[in-house]
Amino acid sequence: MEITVDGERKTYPRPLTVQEWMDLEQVRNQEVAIIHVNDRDIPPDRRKSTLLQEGDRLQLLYFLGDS
Amino acid sequence: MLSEEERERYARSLSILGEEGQQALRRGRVLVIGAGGVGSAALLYLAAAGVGTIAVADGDRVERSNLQRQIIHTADRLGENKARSAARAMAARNPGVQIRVIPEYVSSQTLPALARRYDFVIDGADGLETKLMISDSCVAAGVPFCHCGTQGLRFQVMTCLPGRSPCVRCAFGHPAGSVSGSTLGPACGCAGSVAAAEAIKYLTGRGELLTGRLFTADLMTMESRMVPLRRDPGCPACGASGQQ
Ligand SMILES: [Zn+2]
Repeated sequence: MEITVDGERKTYPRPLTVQEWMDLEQVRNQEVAIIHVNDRDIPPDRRKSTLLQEGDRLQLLYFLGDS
Repeated sequence: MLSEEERERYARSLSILGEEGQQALRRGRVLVIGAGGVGSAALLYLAAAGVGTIAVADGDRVERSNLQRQIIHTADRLGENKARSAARAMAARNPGVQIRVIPEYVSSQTLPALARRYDFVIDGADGLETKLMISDSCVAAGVPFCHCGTQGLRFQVMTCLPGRSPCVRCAFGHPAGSVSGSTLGPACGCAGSVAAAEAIKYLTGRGELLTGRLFTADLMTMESRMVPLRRDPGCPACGASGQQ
């Protein structure tokens, strides 16, 4: 499965849910504020049930806390 | 009417904003919360632009480790309250603007009433909880504000017109935490400059504000994004069940 993460192409040997992808890439739930898949917001309670598809575009948004 | 001195000082701005715009800036009142990295850039640009009344709130003191990014402070002001130090720098930059020093931290108890005395608020504070408090307080007060965040070489900025565009809670849902640690100066400078531009645009009624969208960029990769935002009807701050 090939997907695009923040503009970068990535390939995985099997289909993954959003949460499985986060676990695999060690993306921490408490740090990522928003995950968009193909411009649609996937809230935390839908990350385990949302299966990523070939060609999906993921965008991550963090709450930046410094100033 | 602008004085001869003002015409000379703002000559380059007048060609863009016109006399009417420059007068709008002179009537403008902006509150900047935090005289850190973001606040440094925002405050200097607001003072330089001729925003008539600028208030700066910060209870912290200038430390040596601040100087790599908090460009409004100088080595000879170590230990001084940051709001006072920032005020001195702004007065030196432009003696024509009125500066109000609030040498303390704002809170959910004090901020709504304070914010109502200003036309626009800039969030230059640290930390998830403080940033959410600033958003909630400005929404409660009905005062437009600009939210800024930085980390590393990343920065993000959005503007909220309470009741009309998404607030920070609408934008981020229920963030469980924030990314923080340390920031390099240029990222603070970018965020603070964008925030100052938002205040200038709001006061003069020009351009397109960063409402309903969040601008985020990474100076390490030079990738930038405009993330569309929507008001959340269930937002505890500005939704139907909130205060607006
Ligand atoms: Zn909201």
